[in-house]
Amino acid sequence: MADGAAMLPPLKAYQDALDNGEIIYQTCGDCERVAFYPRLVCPECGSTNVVYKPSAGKGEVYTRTVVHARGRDPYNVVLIDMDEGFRIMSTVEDAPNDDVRIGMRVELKTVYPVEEVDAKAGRLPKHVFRPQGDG
Amino acid sequence: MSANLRGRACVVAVAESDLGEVGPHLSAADLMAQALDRALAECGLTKADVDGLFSSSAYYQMASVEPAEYLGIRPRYTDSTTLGGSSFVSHLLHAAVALDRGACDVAAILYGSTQRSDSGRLVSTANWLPYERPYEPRMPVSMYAMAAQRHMHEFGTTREQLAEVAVQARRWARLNPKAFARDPLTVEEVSGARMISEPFTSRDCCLVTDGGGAVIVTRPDRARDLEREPVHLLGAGEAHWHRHISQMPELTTTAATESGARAYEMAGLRPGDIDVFELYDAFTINPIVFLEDLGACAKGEGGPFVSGGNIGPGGACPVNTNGGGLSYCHPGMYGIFTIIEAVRQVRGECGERQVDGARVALAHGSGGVFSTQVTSILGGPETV
Repeated sequence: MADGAAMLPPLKAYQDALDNGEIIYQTCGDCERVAFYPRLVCPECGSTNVVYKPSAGKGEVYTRTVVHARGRDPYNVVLIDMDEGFRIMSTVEDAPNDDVRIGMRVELKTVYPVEEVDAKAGRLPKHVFRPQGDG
Repeated sequence: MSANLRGRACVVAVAESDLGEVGPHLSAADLMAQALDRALAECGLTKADVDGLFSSSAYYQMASVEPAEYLGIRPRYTDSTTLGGSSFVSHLLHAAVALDRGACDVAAILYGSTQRSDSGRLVSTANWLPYERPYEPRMPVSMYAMAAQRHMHEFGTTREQLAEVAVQARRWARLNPKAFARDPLTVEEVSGARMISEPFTSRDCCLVTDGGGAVIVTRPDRARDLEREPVHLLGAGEAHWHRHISQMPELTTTAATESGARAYEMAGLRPGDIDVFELYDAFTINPIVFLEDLGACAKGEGGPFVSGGNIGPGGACPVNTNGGGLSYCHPGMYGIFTIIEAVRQVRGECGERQVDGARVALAHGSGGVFSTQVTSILGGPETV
């Protein structure tokens, strides 16, 4: 997908990848810096020679919180250090909130669609993770 | 090469507007007018002397233009720099640059917010990153909560140590007649309060109050004729590395390491020379991280450092002597109040909460989600 998708605006490329059940990140063709979120220029060297890449969807919880909001069950929000070297915000399902801990291995579970996408407003399909299984 | 502004600008007046809950009929601009009026009265300057205007606001998109119109000020130097809660400390640095270059002669830094009286129709400048928004972190408390959680993981910082920050802030607030929350507060009450975003309870979070402030800055030559002994800007620095929490390099170290280093270098001072620290405490983790990043203690030692009354009244390292955003006042962007209290401590006019012999005070603002960091160091005439 690199060549074709690299022509897409970053938010659109990200959204399209989510529609295919994938998370993308970028590497710089000049300085090899890994970046997320995707951008038109490398945040390290400024090069426009940046390439979209699909992530294998595995990583480790860097930090977490559990939000206690009135009128709904508590839910976790995590930052995940992905194995490719970038960090994203997501949530971990299939585990009690108390068990979602820093250092926990997680893998992409699925991507939930949204009814009406408005990428700039953050109404995007939502990737969710789960505790990593064997292998 | 950095601009050497040491001793080139001084604060000649500080004032708050009415604080707490001012009621539904006063506006943010009204509070700025109150604060400026009181500050001008304190130093003997008039509105006509003000030719530099600095403000930031969640209410007014053209932040310095709105109060200028209201007050009938036509500045020749105007600055609406918006860095979140640190904006006003940044304004102090920017005012010093402008004054030193002769771009203005008397600078007024203004802030006003009626956030508490407006509750239910709260003005928000929340600026979401599309890549974060679907996960619904509670802005901004969840971002700081994630930083606290990481700090606990890396350094063994405890729930009780976080609570100590709120408890010591409350001890100071009990000595400040203007503080909003003055009831006794215990570690157990902080830990056991309603959970908001783990590990933070409602007592780990700043107040929601109304309030405004004004700071008048001029050059030392101009200050000589004024009523109050000036408090001099010895050093200042600003820095930011990220806007959104998922882009922060490590959640346990902020750009205050750089803003602080720049301020210390300009001032020719070291952390041990600071008599009083006024640190933006939107959440209990903030002073812990800032004390580390500003060199009062080593990285990771902030938890033990804030414990045992060390930062409270009578402690070795007084922090947030007005009661801070946690117990004194927090109308949304607290930064200006760090300057106001630092100036008053250096002047020695803080009554029961006065730190004996305070000659050098550090005022530090933070904005966004640990994003923008601005440090200033203020001292009495003999420190220049």
